[in-house]
Amino acid sequence: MLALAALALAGALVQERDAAASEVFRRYSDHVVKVEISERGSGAKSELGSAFFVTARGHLVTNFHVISKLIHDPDRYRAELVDASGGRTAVTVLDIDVVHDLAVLASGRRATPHFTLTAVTLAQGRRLFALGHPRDLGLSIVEGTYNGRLQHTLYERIHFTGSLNPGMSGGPAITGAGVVVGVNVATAGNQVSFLVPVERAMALVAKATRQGYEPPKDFLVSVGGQIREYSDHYVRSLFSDSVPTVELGSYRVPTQPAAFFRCWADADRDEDSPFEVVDHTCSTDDYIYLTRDHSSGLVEFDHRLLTSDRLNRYRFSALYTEQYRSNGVGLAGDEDEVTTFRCRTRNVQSGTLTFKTALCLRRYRKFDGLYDAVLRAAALGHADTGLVTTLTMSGVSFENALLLAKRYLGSVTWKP
Amino acid sequence: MEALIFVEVLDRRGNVAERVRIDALPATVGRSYRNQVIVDDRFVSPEHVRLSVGETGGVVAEDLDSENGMYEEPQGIRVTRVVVQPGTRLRVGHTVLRFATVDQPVVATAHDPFVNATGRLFRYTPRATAAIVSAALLVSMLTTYLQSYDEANVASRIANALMIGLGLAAWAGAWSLVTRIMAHRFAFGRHLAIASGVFLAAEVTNAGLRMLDVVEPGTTASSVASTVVMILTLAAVLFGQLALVSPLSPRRRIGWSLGVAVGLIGLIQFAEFAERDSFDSSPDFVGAVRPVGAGSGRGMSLETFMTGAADLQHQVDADAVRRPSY
Repeated sequence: MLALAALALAGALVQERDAAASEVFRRYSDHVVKVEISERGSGAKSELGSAFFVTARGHLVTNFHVISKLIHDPDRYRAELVDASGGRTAVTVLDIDVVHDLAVLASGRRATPHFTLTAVTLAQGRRLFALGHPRDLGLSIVEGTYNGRLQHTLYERIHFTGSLNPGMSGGPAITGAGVVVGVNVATAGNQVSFLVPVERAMALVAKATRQGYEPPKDFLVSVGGQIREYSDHYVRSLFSDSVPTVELGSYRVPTQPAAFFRCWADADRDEDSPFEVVDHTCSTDDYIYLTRDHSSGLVEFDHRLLTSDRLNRYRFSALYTEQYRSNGVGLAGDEDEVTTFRCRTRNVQSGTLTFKTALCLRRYRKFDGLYDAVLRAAALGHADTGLVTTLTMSGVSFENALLLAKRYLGSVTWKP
Repeated sequence: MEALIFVEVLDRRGNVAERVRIDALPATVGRSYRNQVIVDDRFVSPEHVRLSVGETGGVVAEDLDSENGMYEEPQGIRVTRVVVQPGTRLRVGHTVLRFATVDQPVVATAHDPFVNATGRLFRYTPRATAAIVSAALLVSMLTTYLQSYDEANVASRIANALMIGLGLAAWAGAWSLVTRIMAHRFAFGRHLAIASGVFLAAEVTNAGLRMLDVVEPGTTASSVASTVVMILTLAAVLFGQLALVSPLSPRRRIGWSLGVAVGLIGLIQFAEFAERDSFDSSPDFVGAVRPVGAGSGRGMSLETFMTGAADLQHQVDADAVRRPSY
């Protein structure tokens, strides 16, 4: 009897949930549209995403990465929204927030059904519904769970447990009552997805829709400025006061400089190998999308300790040289986006240590004053122990790159 | 018996194609086999010229009513009878005859530049060559061992050294073939000795260069030094091997060797220079790391290093203005 009652209850719950999802879809599907970026010349579809109305005057919110082609090449691409009935309307970009991957669009439509954005506090586990156009298959609704804000990220993100797919980017994630919680932005697969918190969208919409607002003449200048401002804000704070360090062999090396860094360590101690390797790596978890081939905003560093009691000093030197010269710098970007790296290599004294040090720099072609920088240093002075350390910074000003590199190398010490 | 006269049949370039010694006069020149001087020229008559002793005792040449006549060169005047002197040239058909006597002076004997050519460089013995080759292979084994950190076994190291030995032998073999063509001998052992000697010197110099790269990494001084050493190494091997191949004087050999080495290395450096701006999404870390000794107390301060990095900024700012090369 009990079992039968439990089955009946479960069936009722499923029905209720189904009803909720279909009800949400029925109520809010006309708030969400498809955004198509197409090439002006051929008319071919180039990028696809979702957007949702946030005012009755036809303003929409979407992701920056959905419309980024329009920002990089406005003469070559155009954007249109496609509503449920197939109606098309040209849209223009009003403002962008490249750091949080948001954009506000203007469609010129009037009396549009829309969401009203408000700050929201939710309990972990609340049911959410993400709306969007996955893989151009038509407007879909995905049910998932709110799992709170990510604790260790540089750029605020909500952890949404549900399947977001390409094409849903820029769509809203809402509660059953139609309250927007965030904007669909990314997925890590296996139902691990991410939303941009609604507060970020509210701030951008408020700025872009106020009286007398004029969109920037050149959005690329605005993109560069936002990245610079943001990196100024957090890079300057890294390794500033007391530098957290960790012991690596006889060296003390900098480690997790802020909560938004994740650190890993690994050791390779194979009995057949004449040397041992211990790695300590820290990295910011997220990045700023610029184009499909180029992202920015990453800071990572890696310490590699080499020790050997079986290699003589010359053979150890061969190992050390190879490790120093090996690449392992994971910065993307093609020739359209960045210049080639230029490096300066010298022996540099820091405290009691001397390092063979290379500082390499490349510039973003489209963004004035933004650079990627890589510092690599190998500590000299010991015949059987070596340390190769690499600091990679992307999307930083030259001054900040030098500042961080100096603090970083200055905090490596030898502890006999 | 002393020859009365020599008739030299010249080829079209004026070189002697054949010399005929005439011991008795009269004698005849023509295309038929009855003549003492047979000329294979279809414009020459079967009996074309008779040579005899004239009234004054000199040798006289007479045209024997030939089809195409007899001409005195270089004037090209047709003659029927002429007294010939040493050096006189007569054209019959398309062939020029020149006359000489036993008193005809000859040029001084030329010195054969290939005789004992390596003697000017070193005293060659097969044993010395074997020693140089062995030393080169041993040093290459040693440097390969010191520049590796893997656990390769002895057999593979010996195999590597033998591959280098084969390379040296192939190089020496190629030069030997050239020597065979130019100086009619192979001199393989000498070529092998020279190639191995230069290889040995290069291995030692390279070790020094790596040291320079440790002390002064990535500076103009270390790249200039490595270019100079590459040029000198190539010039040295060319200088040695040209000695066996060409009769050039040492001074000219130095000139040629240096010229070719500067040209070749210059070309390579130019190609690298042209490639310097090619795009790479990863930085290139250069130089060697020698953990012991080097650098202690020699490094610049962190502050100075970072201040100097302003150049980097200027470089990449300038690069950003230039369009991508694709």
